[in-house]
Amino acid sequence: MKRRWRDKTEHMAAELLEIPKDTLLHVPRVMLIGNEQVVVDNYKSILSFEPELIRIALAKGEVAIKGTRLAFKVIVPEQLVIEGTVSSVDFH
Amino acid sequence: MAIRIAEFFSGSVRVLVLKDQSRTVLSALIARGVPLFDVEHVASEQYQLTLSLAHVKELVRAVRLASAKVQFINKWGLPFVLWRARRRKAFIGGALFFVLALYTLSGFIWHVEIEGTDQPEVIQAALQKLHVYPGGLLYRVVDQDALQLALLDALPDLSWVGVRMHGTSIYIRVISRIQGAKVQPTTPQDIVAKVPGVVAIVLADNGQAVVKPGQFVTPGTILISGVLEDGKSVHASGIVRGIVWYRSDVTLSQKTTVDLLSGEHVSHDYLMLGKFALQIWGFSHPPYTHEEVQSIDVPLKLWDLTLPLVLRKETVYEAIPHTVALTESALTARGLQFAATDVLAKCKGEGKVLRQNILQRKLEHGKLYMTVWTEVLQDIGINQAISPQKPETGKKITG
Repeated sequence: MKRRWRDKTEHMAAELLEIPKDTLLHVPRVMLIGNEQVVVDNYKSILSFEPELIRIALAKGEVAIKGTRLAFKVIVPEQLVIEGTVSSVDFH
Repeated sequence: MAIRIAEFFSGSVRVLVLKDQSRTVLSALIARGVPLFDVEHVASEQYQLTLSLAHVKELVRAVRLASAKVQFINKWGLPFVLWRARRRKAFIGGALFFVLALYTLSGFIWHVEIEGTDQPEVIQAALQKLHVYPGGLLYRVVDQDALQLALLDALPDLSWVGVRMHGTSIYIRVISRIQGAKVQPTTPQDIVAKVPGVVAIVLADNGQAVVKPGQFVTPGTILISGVLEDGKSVHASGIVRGIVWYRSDVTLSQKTTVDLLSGEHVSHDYLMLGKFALQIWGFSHPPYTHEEVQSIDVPLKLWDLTLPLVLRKETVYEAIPHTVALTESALTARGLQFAATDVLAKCKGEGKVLRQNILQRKLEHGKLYMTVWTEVLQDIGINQAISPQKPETGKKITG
């Protein structure tokens, strides 16, 4: 309850002050570098990991990255780096 | 698989996780916040990942909980190197021994090369005394310049020694003194004044100049001292020029007789055998009251052989005596010239007349009497051996 209130306030402040949304701490961020690399910040967990499909749980919903020869370059808390040939990024 | 320096120090492992249904191990590690690198899918339920050595325990725990299996594929970093080193004590010992041996052995002289002499034994013997020989300790050898000087001192037959130390090798190049060449004297000596005078130039090649230009010196005054400041005696050498005065009395007659030739002459030819002369041509005896005879001798030669016979051509010229009376000024000039020539003969031709003064001049009975004062720049130094027993001798003369 408290968390939701805080999130709401943060979002409101961000709207009001026109702060870019990615500067907010708990907002997941998915960055594509060409179709070769995907950087995911503020992920929650890895749901599945295959060379053709990687599913990552975010705070709200999940992201599915499709492609070929996908692999994790780096996995550290708060950040993932995926490398391979990316064909699509879908949010569910 | 980028290896960063921090990773190298902490050590990393690459593992293959097997029989991991639905990636439990991976999820567990992510949940624990373990940094993972290069996670690659291999087959279903199989994947590889790289993680730091510090997190291996967590990996093993996660694998056990998931009842999966793990295979270590590769490991790298400093901890593994040390671990391997600990297991191979002999190898490390060998490496240390090698370094130690290299260090120890480079402390010896391995090679001494002598060049430029047909008698290397002589030089070897001298070098032995200076601790230079194959197998000698390098640290006992003085530096190459000192070694050079020491060798020159030890072997007076050498005119030059070059020493080059190159690691554990010593290269010596010598140039022998040419036999019969004049050896520079080394006996300790001073250069002292031989005549009284005023010093003009001091050029000390060896030793210490103790006089300055402009200083008046008496015979025996030390000009260039062979005794150096540190008490060492050397063979002083150099040039000291000084201004010296000479007083000469000149007497010249005003009238001089000169023979003038009239041009009339007759020739006589003689064949000489030793002192015996045989007149062979020209027998006329002209009635000359005054004559001047000039003769030219030509030794007779038969091919390369010189015969004991000499052909003499004698020419008799008619002469007319002529008396010249010089003026006083001309006579004075001639007197000064005579005085200068006389003085220069006294200083063996190495002097230079600076100034001449006429002290006294008197023309009496057709004769000029003159006293001339001549100032000459000449070498005033003379060698004087330093006797170590009586170092006071020189000073007594000075006093």
